[in-house]
Amino acid sequence: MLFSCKQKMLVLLLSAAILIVCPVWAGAEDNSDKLPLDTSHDQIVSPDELAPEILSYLTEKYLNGNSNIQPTTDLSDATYIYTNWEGKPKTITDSTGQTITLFRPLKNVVVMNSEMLETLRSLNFSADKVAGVGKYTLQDSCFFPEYSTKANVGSIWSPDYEKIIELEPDAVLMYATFMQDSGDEIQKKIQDMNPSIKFIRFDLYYPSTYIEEAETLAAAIDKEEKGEQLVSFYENNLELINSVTENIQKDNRTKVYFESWDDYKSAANGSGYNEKINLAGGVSIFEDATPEYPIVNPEEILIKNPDVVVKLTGSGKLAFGGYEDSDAVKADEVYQTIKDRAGWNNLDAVKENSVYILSNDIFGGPEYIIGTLYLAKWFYPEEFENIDPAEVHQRYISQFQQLDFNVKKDGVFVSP
Amino acid sequence: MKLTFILFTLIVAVFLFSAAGAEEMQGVTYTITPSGETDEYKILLNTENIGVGGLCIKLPGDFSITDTNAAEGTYKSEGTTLIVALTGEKELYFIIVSPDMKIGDLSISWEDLAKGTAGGEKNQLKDADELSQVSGSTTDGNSVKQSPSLFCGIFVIFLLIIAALKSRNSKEGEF
Repeated sequence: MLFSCKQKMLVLLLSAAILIVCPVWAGAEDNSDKLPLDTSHDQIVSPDELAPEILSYLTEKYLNGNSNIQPTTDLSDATYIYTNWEGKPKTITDSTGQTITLFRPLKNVVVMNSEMLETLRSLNFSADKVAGVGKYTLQDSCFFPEYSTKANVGSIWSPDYEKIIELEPDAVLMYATFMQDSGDEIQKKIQDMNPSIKFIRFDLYYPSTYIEEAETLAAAIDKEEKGEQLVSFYENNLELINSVTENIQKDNRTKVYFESWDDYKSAANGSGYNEKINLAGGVSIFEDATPEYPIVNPEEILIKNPDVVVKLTGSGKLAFGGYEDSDAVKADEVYQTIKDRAGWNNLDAVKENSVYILSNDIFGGPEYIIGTLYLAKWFYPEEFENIDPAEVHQRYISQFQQLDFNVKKDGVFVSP
Repeated sequence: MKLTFILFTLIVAVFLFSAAGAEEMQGVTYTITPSGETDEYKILLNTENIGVGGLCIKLPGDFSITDTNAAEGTYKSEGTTLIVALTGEKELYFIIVSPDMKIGDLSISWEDLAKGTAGGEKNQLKDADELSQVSGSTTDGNSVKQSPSLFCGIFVIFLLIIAALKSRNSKEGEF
């Protein structure tokens, strides 16, 4: 079938029209990648774009007498961006290496892991801006009381996708490298369902990356000043430890047997626990073992004869102590059981009364600095004689976590 | 005349003292001065304490704007009301013609949309024949630090001393 010249022209015009209209339609759908009130589409909120909207608001309020009117979300966000971001989108790079561009301030986020939430609180990020939290946060109502009524979004092992989508968050905040495959899968599924949801991922428990991650997170939420205070707190305490431990040769370092809440599960190179032992000037007697958290042979402990033994509590079979529990009896029982293990009476650590119980609440997450201070004091009691880790702990809780909690009276963090 | 001068001095002092009283303040300082032409006044606004926001001035009578340094599209007037959008301006002026400026209420309100703060005040113009300048400062009393507070305090003391001297001299019969 042959087309006439007019018909061909009509088809061409229709095709051209479709090509022109489609990108416009697609662009209009993607509201997440546009600055509010950026009418010139130059990715800058300018005074010329703000003023008419402000004038419109003032007109309604003062000339039309609508005294209860509030600025529109677009005006509020554009004002914020103009004031705090120099009118431009904000770009950050998280610990997965992905670059995230924010076109509006974060006002409604989902936080999957408690390390992230604890650091957000240190940075003074308002709980009102958190729509949903992980299930482990909800179980920790003593430490996270203001989040006890937030929506449960599950965990990295079992996320509640429907709930996350339902909350329509600006961003989901979760781990970067811990359980990275699961994290990547969660991000992909959520963003397949709603591409406008940003993912910002930090681990926030490795000493080697914590400070940098906290600084970047502070920048993402525009809390740079608070971020500087937090970083200063960590740096001061790290310098305190380093000033003593940095000149100790490896052969002279305190030999440590570290055990998690699972019997004979220790820490080796690559684990956060091993990193913290090294920071405190110690060396794990199983640092060369594999994997990162090796199950060790009890006989090997006797052969390696550690100077100090540290047993971790707060999870698994030893889920007690920490902030939630002020009863020290269970910690004392664990302490006694450890010392009574077969053959352990010959260990230097037992003979020198250098066996300690440590709660993961001050070692596993952002509070690693507190636990590391305790380790340093246990490893080098004379050098750290004048250091009181409990005092540093209290400062962290009062100044950064803003909790009404007396660490010397309440909770069980170390024993004996 | 003497009494008017003292009262005016005190009125200005009270306005400024209210600005200097709180250590941390945010707001607008303003003056309204007759230009010398009939019914013409210059409204001078210092808005450096406000980032992004706006203000509203209600004058005692209808007016028209004859000149301003505010950009077109950033202000609007209707009857006795002037509204101005602010995006970081430090100082603005409006030359207005207002035959009814002499007696009545004058109010000014401001908002800082970035900080979520607002403030304002209302004054009453009573004796415009003796009035050379209306001066004031509006504040919410709790926001940003205002650097001129010390200056205001000193100026208040200065004005009170002048007022006292004038009063004393009056008793001695030099007026």
